[in-house]
Amino acid sequence: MREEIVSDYSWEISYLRSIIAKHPDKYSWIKDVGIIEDLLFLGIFYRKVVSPLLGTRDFTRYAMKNGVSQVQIGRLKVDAVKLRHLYTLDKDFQELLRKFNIPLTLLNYSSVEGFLGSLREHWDNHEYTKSE
Amino acid sequence: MSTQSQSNYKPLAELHGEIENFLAGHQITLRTYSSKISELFECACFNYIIQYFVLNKFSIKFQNLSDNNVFRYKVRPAGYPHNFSYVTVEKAYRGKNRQHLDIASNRMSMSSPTVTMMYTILPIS
Repeated sequence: MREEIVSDYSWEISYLRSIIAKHPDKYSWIKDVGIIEDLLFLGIFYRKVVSPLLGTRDFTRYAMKNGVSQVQIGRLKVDAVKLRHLYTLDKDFQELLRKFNIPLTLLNYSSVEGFLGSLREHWDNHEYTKSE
Repeated sequence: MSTQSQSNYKPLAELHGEIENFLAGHQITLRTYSSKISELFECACFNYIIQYFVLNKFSIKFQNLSDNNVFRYKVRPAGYPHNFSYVTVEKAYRGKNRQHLDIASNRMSMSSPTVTMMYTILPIS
């Protein structure tokens, strides 16, 4: 999983830099590329890691409400204790997004250009979250 | 409106450090699941299928649980189906014309139009 995230991240970063270099006027609103890179990482991390974990948590929670004691997925057993860990992870992730006013919808992008378009729109509506 | 002091939000310049703190704080949980993410992704998809039926007011039953009511999710084509759990969804219209589906994961199935064997998450009856 680590390799997959690093590979996706490296590809998106190099693509980001190439489109900024190709269209400097269009992306002149980007003052700090490092922040964009962090947001892209957060998007990859959410889609690749957090989303499957929360889907598994929701399935386990629903199963437990219906008489199942735990869910075994391969060698992994998701029980009440692991469920609590997943709830904590979700809570902390949501808190991280809230602290920086990052809407979850921003992280559900399918292309870097689409992400930049949504980010600009979000920043235009929330001037105070811009990095200066 | 444009100054950070007027905002309830942290400046994005601090995001990198916060991401590192988050990852460090949850490293044990993340390590537990990191090698099984593709299986968890499947389970998450399975959950969305079940939730579709929940939202449409089907009754849901977890079937073929093993000892101590453990739901054994089938994560790969290998293995006898009778060793794994599945979900039954049912709904009756005006007391009759009952709809009944068994939903299982990674079971071999034959698609009648193409006569192709496939492994997938699908209704099995």
